[in-house]
Amino acid sequence: MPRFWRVLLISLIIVLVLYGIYFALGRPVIPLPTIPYKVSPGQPLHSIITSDGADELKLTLNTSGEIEITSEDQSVVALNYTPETFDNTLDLGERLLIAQKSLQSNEDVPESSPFLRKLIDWVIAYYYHVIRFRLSVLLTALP
Amino acid sequence: MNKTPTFIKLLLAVILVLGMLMVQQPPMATAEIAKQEIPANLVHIDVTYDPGTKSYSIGGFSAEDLRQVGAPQFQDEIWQVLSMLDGVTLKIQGDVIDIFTNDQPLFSVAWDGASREILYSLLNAYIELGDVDMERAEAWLDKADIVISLRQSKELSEPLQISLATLLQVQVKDNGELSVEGFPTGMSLTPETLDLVNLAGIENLKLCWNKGVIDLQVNGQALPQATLYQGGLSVVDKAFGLSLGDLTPIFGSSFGAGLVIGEADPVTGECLP
Repeated sequence: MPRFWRVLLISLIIVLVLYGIYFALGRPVIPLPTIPYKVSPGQPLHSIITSDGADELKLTLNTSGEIEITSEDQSVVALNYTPETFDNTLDLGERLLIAQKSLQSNEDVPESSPFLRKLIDWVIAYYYHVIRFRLSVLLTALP
Repeated sequence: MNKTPTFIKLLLAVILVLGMLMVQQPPMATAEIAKQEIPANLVHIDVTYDPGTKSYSIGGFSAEDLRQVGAPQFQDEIWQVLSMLDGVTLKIQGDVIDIFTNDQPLFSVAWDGASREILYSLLNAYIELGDVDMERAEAWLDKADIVISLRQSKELSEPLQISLATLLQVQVKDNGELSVEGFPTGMSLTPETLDLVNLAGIENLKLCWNKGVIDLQVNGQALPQATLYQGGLSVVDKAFGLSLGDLTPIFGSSFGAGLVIGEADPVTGECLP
């Protein structure tokens, strides 16, 4: 067997074995490093972050189906989604957006590309079902 | 011996094992859910009042909270009557209405289907808002468990206990007028909002609140479930300047509403988890 095919097969087996272990462990969420983001005074988010005196707001996306906002370790609001409810939200958002644009411009506004919608659905479903990550953004208000 | 077949065998074995692992379904809850009785609409409201300061508290909301939302002040005659009582409790449970004063039973009234029909006829004869929809009224009252207690006390009243299985039916008419259970509210949607809703093809909404958990369906399609934490509510309140006051009482309650735009069919179903 040519060397190329051997390397490819071995790599494939390693990937499959690793994913098998990950799957057998119950597909735990893989935490990614928190992304810090400084918000300057004057930005719309600044007043929201500073409203309770904590000067910090953490937005956490858990691709297994949860989006949570916390302030000083206190949960503020959480959204639990599935690929279906996410798609329903996109659908509603798009319809409202088109309706708003139609009202403002009095013209027919075209719908978004079906391929783009499918692509978004696949990405959401992939990170929901196959590999799960936790991504956090820490918003800090600058004085 | 050639190593190629070994690789292929190994690959096939791994794929087979992983395939079996992935196909393995979590144990499904196949046990039949025990058929429950039709859930009751439970409403327990505690009211405390102090004739000395002429203030009252309802369902865990303080006099100050109530003043902020425009709760009315009682006339002196009413305070005089209230000052003579230590407490009055009205209980609607099953087919009986019981009234207690100062913890002593005052009287009981039959509250079965026939007696309710008489009440609906009286209401139809004397109210000007329109005929009572008997089917809807029965949906609310047939399995109701209602306790309203008035106590003379300076203490804050007990938090509300509301658990409504029946959906509150809200309708937006073609001209934007809003009615609740068939009764006009005097409120209406702005023409811009109505146009937006109609253009977006929104025909109905179902909203359920269950102790901080919000479920919303638009045209029968579920949106992500939102959980509003009681501790975090102050952050939302301050961030958006909502002046919500103390909303602790509603975090123990569950209720829901079905909103219909135009002449679409009423939203069906319940909200209880």
